[in-house]
Formats: sequence, structure tokens, C-alpha cells
Amino acid sequence: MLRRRCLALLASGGVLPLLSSCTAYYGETTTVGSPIYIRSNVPDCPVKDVALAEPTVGLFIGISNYQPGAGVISTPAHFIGASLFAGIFSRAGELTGPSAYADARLTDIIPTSRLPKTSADPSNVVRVMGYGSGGSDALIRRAAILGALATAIADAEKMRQTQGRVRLVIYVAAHGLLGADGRPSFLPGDASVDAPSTWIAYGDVVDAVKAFLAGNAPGEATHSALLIFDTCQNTRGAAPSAPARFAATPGLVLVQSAAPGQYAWHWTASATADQHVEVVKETRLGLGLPPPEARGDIHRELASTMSVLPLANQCAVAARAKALKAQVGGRQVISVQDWFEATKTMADDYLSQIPEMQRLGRTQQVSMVATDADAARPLFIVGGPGT
Amino acid sequence: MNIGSRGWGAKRGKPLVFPIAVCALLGVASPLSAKPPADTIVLKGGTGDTVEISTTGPFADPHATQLAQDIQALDQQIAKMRKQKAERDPAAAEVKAEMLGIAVDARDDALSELDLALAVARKTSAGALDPDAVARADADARAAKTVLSSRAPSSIAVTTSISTSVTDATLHYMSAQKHRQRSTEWSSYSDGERMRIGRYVFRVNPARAGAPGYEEFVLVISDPTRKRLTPMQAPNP
Repeated sequence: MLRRRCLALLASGGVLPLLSSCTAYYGETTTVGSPIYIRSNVPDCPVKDVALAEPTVGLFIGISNYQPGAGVISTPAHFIGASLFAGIFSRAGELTGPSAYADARLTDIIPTSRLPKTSADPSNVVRVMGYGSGGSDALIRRAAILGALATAIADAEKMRQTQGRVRLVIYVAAHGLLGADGRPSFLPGDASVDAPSTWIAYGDVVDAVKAFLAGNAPGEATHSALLIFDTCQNTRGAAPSAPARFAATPGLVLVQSAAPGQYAWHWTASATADQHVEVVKETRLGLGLPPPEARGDIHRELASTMSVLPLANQCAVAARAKALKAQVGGRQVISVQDWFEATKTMADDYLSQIPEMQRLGRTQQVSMVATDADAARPLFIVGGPGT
Repeated sequence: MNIGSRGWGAKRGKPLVFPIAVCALLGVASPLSAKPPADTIVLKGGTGDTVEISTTGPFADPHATQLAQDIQALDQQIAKMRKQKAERDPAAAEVKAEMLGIAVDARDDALSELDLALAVARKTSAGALDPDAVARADADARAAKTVLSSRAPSSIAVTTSISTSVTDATLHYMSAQKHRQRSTEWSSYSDGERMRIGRYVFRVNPARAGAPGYEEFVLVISDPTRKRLTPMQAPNP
């Protein structure tokens, strides 16, 4: 099977991972229907024996291609970041569709054999959107994003019915702007910076998720959500007088990689620290890229950037899990609060090493809004369920 | 300083980690092995780094292209000035050399700011040039152009008359280069002061306690140099 996957990848003429990587990278996958794939183990930040604490439906969106005239340039960083972030929530993708996105029904990071036998359906659903509807259209359009959001919510509700509880995880890496009305928004592939009606406001996604969370009966927490916006919140023109703020909502954990007026910086080859050489090498190999004909204007060259947050997330979870296993042993929990603090600390460290950010004298504030109860909920289980 | 066209659209200076041989083996186009595209302007900076500006394709920005072309034009003017016959008068030669140095510094600063603006477009989720860095690059390029087209003063020090529309305010200044390095060592300014020709940043400090100051770039090149500093919008914090 491994050999078939390698051959399939090479025959596609698209992604060109190192030949030796095939055996190393696809140890537990079954079939492949697309050259898009998800890597979970960055070599120097391997995440081992870490499981999701709750049944999860994930939607990871990395908008890399923008239409001509959008007013923003295309960047591979967003899709690479989304792929890497998704890697924490999935071992690898079982893929559908020729190039649209990886639609994976996965057994999370723990091998199937180690999952609790009592679970009716131990799978999590993880979907990664990096490109458009296939063919020559490499744009992720506004309508497709809103459709995927609705699908993810519907999948989450189905999972809640079968599992009794569910966590909906949504991650968005895209170009972002703070509108004149003070609302932070992100830009789909078919957006234009000059037309706010083509953007998607954070608030619209939050409202959709809040409607999903309304499924919680009084006193219950069967529905929960982790919503991560990894976008800029800079302005074009005059800054709004009162940027929108999000209040804590029961069931919802909202993470923003930047505050109003700030850029969300990317980790790049030129900002490589010694310990992350492997990460950069990996992104240069074209992590998770579709075949050339579906890549649009970018990705004709080796990719070498990704958002800071996914990398920080990966390495923070790896470090936290390693420390817990070494210090405590057995089955341990990484709560939402633990995860966020570790990720933020790691992100701050990366950000302090970006020379252009220092030259401009800018800051980037990664923040989380959650109730105390939601922050205390388990996000990952170290040592695996049932161990 | 314009060293032609090459590469794929990023700042050079460090060797790439990924071996070219492996790229070739895999059939992956290496940035180092790629034939230079004709749609990239490559400019050399003051510290030896090169900055590449895509003029077409997904990484292109019209404003960046215009700035890059302006800097190319400056390079031609600077090269022409360097070829000119040396002045016989030592004082005139000193002034000319100083003016050339000011123009080169301004040109280098313009490129540095353009590089920074491009870095924001390429390395953040803004996807566009940083407007503040672009404004500074524009100002630096304009200053270089002004210096190159100005008549040389008779002396390297010129009389200045810098004033402000802000009532009872005091003026301080420092060189543009020190200001770029985030120096806090301001010198107080007196009207009529003779100053060495060069690029300066002036700071207007209002008399009213707690009122925010205002900074403005001033090119001191003509004798006398007169300028009135007027905050156009809200003063800088």
C-alpha cells in the first residue's frame, strides 16, 4: 500500500516529496485519491501519543490563491499552515476529489487499535480546504467556504447524535482586513479588498457557530467549538474608531492570531532558527500541494513560508505532551487553556525572531476569548484514551 | 547598482538550505538553478543584499514596480554623476561628494523601505505592501532625485530657516539615518542655524504639556533652506 501511494504521488506529476519520505510519511494511511496529503509530524516537533479529547469535526481553510485584481498577492503560506494545523487533528488524510480538498475520515493521532472499543464511531472528520473546485479553478470562493462551514456544522451535529458530544474546530488562514465598520474579516479567493461585501466577517462565522452551540440543552455542554482566525487585521485607509470585540460565549473558544490593526506574520526560510531547519526543508518540498495544473498562480516554486500559529501549535503540543509524559506519565490532559498558553508562548518566541517585524516596530498579539469553564475543558489527551 | 534581472521574487543573501542536487534529482525547480525571469527587477542594496521585485504575476504590485523603476532611474543618474569630471576647487569637490553621498544614502534607504514594504506583502496575511514603509520609500526616492537635480551650494554648511505653524512650539532635529536607527538624541534647533547639507527629521514639540509631538522629514540642500512645518492631520504620538 505504501508503495502504491508513492507511485500514485509520483505518477500524478504534481507533488514531489522526497522518495524516502514516502515510507516515512504514510505509515498508517490506506488509500489515496489525490496528491493532497496532510503531514502531522514535523520532524523536529513530532506529536506522539496525543489524542483528541472529544469527538471532533474539523474544517481547516488555507486560502492561498487570489484572483487577479483582488488587491492582495497570493501566498502559499496559508494552505501550508492549514495543512500543518490539520495535522494535529489527524494523522493523515483519506482523500476525496481530484484537487478540491482533502476530506478525511480519520482515526486521529492514535492508531485505531488503541482507540476505545466502546466508541460507536471513533472517527473524527477533518476537512482541509486549500484549493477551489478543481480543474483550472484554484480559487476557494466565498460560496464554497460558506458551504463548507454549513457542511462542517451539519457533520458536527451528526457526530453529536452518534457520539453524544462533539467539538467543532474551524481554522482559517487567509488575508484579512479590519473593515471600516471595525469588523475583522478574511478574504476568500474571489474577494476584492475594495468590496467589503466579498469578504467574510469573523462575526458571520461566529454567529453560525453560535447557532450550532444553541443545540446545547440548559446545563449541558454536548456541543463545543474551537474557532481560530489566523489572519491580519490591518486596515486600508483610516482605522475604525471602535474595532469589534468578541464577548465570551458558553461553548465557544475563539482564538485570534492578531489584534485590530496588526499583521499576522509568517515564518519563512529567512527567519529559520537552527532547530527548525527541518520544518523549512519540508515546506520547501511543497507540503500538501495539489498537481501543478490545480495550483493557480502560486506554488510554481518551492514553498517556504507558513503562518506562525500552526507551527507554534505543532511544536507547543509536542513539547507539552513530552513534558507531561516525562514528568507525570500515564494518561494526562492538555486543557484548552494549557494548549493556548503553550501555543502563544511558542508563537511569541517565533515572532520575536522575525527581523522585518522588529524593523517595523510592530507587535502581534495572539489572544483567546473563552469562559473559564470552556478554557478548562480537555482538548488533547496525552498517553491516549484508555491508557 | 541595478544588477539586472534574475531569481524568483525574494530577498537574497543567505544560502538556501535545500540542496540543489536533490532538487534536480526530484525534478523540482530550485530557486538557485532557475533561469532568471525577465519580469523581475533586481536591485542591490547598500549592505550588499539584493532585492527582487516581480513586475508581473501573483507577487507583483504596481506601486512596488514603480518604486523599483524610480530607483533604477536614480542608479543611472548616480552612475552618470560619478563619471563627471572632478571639481578643481576642493570646497566644490567636497560639496559635490557630499551631495552624491546624500543621494546614494537616500536611494539605499528607499530600497530598504521598499524591501520592508514587500516583506509585509510576502510574509504576512496582509497580502499588500505596508503603506508606512511605502510612504517612506517614496520620500527617500524623492529626496535622492531632488539632491541629484539640485544646484550645489557654495559651502557644505548652509543657512536654514525652519519654522512651524504650531504656536509656541520648540523644534528639535536629528539626521534621518539616526532617526531610522530609533535614536532618541534630538538636537535643539534655532532659527537661522547653519546646518550641514543632508537629510534630517525635525520634531515639533508643542508648548502645551501632554500635547503630542509631530515629526517631519526635511531635506537641507539649498542655501538658504526654508521650510514651514505644518501638521496636516492629527500629530504623531
